[in-house]
Amino acid sequence: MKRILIYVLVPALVVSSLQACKKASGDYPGDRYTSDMMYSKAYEPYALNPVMGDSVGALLPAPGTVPYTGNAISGNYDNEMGDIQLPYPYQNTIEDYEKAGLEVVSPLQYNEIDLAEGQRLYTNMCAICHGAEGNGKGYIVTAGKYTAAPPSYFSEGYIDMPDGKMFHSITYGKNAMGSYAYALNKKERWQVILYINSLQDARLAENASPVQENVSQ
Amino acid sequence: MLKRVLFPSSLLQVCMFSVLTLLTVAPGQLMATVEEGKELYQANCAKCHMINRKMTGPALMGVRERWPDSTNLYAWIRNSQAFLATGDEYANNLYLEYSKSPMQAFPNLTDANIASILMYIDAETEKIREAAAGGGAGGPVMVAAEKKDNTVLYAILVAVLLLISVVLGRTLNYLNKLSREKYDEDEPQAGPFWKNPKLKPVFGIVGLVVFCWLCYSMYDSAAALGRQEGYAPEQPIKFSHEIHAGINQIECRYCHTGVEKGKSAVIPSINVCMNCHYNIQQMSPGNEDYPPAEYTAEIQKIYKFAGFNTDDQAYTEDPEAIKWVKVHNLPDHVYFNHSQHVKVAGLECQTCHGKVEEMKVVEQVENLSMGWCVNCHRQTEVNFTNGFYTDYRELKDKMDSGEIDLVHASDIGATECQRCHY
Repeated sequence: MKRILIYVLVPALVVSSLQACKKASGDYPGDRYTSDMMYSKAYEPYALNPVMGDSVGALLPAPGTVPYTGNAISGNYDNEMGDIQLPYPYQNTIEDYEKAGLEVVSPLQYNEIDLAEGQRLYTNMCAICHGAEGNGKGYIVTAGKYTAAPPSYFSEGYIDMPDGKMFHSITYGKNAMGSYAYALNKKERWQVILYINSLQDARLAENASPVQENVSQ
Repeated sequence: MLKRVLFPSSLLQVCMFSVLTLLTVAPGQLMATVEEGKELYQANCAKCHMINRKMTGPALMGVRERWPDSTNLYAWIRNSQAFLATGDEYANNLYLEYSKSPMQAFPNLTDANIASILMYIDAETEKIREAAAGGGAGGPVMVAAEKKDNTVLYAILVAVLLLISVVLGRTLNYLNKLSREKYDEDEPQAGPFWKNPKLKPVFGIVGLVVFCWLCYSMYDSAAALGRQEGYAPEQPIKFSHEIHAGINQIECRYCHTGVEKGKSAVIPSINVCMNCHYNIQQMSPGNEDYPPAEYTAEIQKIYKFAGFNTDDQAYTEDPEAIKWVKVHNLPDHVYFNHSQHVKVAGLECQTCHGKVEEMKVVEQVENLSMGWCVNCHRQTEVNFTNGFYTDYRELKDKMDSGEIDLVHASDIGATECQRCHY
């Protein structure tokens, strides 16, 4: 009898003391015995740190910074990518928007790889408003949540929009659309534009009168 | 003959005639309808204008009152730049007020098109004014009234049932006593039940079960120490992934842009919120879980943090950092990289984070223990299609030739200690 009591009571004591440690739930992250190993002493991205005071931990890169585009193994500078990533010289003004339309051209030639990547990026970043087909009827627009319905890529003024204007708009934002420079690097922006162009070309091929789109939509 | 069948009444004939005349006099002048106006508004105006407040362009509420001369208004809509050249004072002031951002020209809109757009704007204006006059504080109060609290009802029910059982128990005891008195029986003798020899094996089994449970429980509670499974902290803004990723079907990557590019998946900065919330400033009604009054206040918090003034629709105040609470913490001695898992291995976010698109408050559903990591590394097949694993061509060739069945992540070093601990 005593032996049974020992076998049950001792583990019961250990269990109850362990169970007394609170598990994580709601606001409480749970008890721990190595909090110095759990929480980084080094400053983590997106966490508060004393250097930045009360501000955000993540900062913008210094103006004019060019991302390193070398190959990590060979160390060779990737010329094609590097030129694409050079700073964009146009300002966020109406004059520069027009200028970009005349002067900025895509460094990408049509190719299946960039097109596929452009489609993937478009689906992730743009389709929610602009629609998977580019008709301006993305899900949050048709669901009535977002009232600033974007224009169709096939409407007048958009179907023949120069690539430079598109690039400028993605970089700085246009009308209700914000800047997407934070999410798409310059090459990715050109890949998205390549995909949009392919949508427009397909539409032009099947419909010779794009002007109708604007009114009859 | 056919005509007679189609139009038997002379009155109808007159009507048709007048409509036809109208059509020939002004081609394209169709019946302006609100419905048509809505379509046109969505396609042409909505990208820059809102009815009830200014956006890229001014609020369109009461536009007719501001432009008493409809000819001017129509001219302005068709080609604002050409109309500015006429030197109209109101138009030029408007142009300057909106920092010379030109309104797109719409030469293809007919008078009827513009009329129907204006009718739609009037109809919407009417709705907004009615809501402002009649709605007021009605919304949240109604929600509170609809929400029934059944606790009191249940408590009363339980109390009544308890009372009944007590009464029945006492009645039974009393009846037993009566029957014993009637037949002159003694009170039943009850020795201590644990001394009953028949129960010894039962105690043995129960003791064993309790012992096993205690051992398991000891392991479980010791292992859970330092893990955060179930952690669901309240955030500075009640951001609901259910609304954004679930109901509104926004891609995870739309906000967490770093997930394919680097170690951190990125907590989106506030400009990402403003991509949509520049326009969406109120919680739309219709979902019981998200009362508009409460969640509109949450949306307003974004503007406070962003320093965005909703009256001017401009960033005029000082911005403030949002101190989001990190939910998924790995110990400092573990290296984890999102891009390796999402871009290279092609895993879905839900594999590790659970169904975030159904969470009102994000909760850690996996324990993020080493056993959990290693288990997945042993079971996951290597994704050779991504172009990152050309160094392992030998293994792929062996797999293709049928020499080995599958190549798991552990076969290319995913269970080596220094892969994550260094």
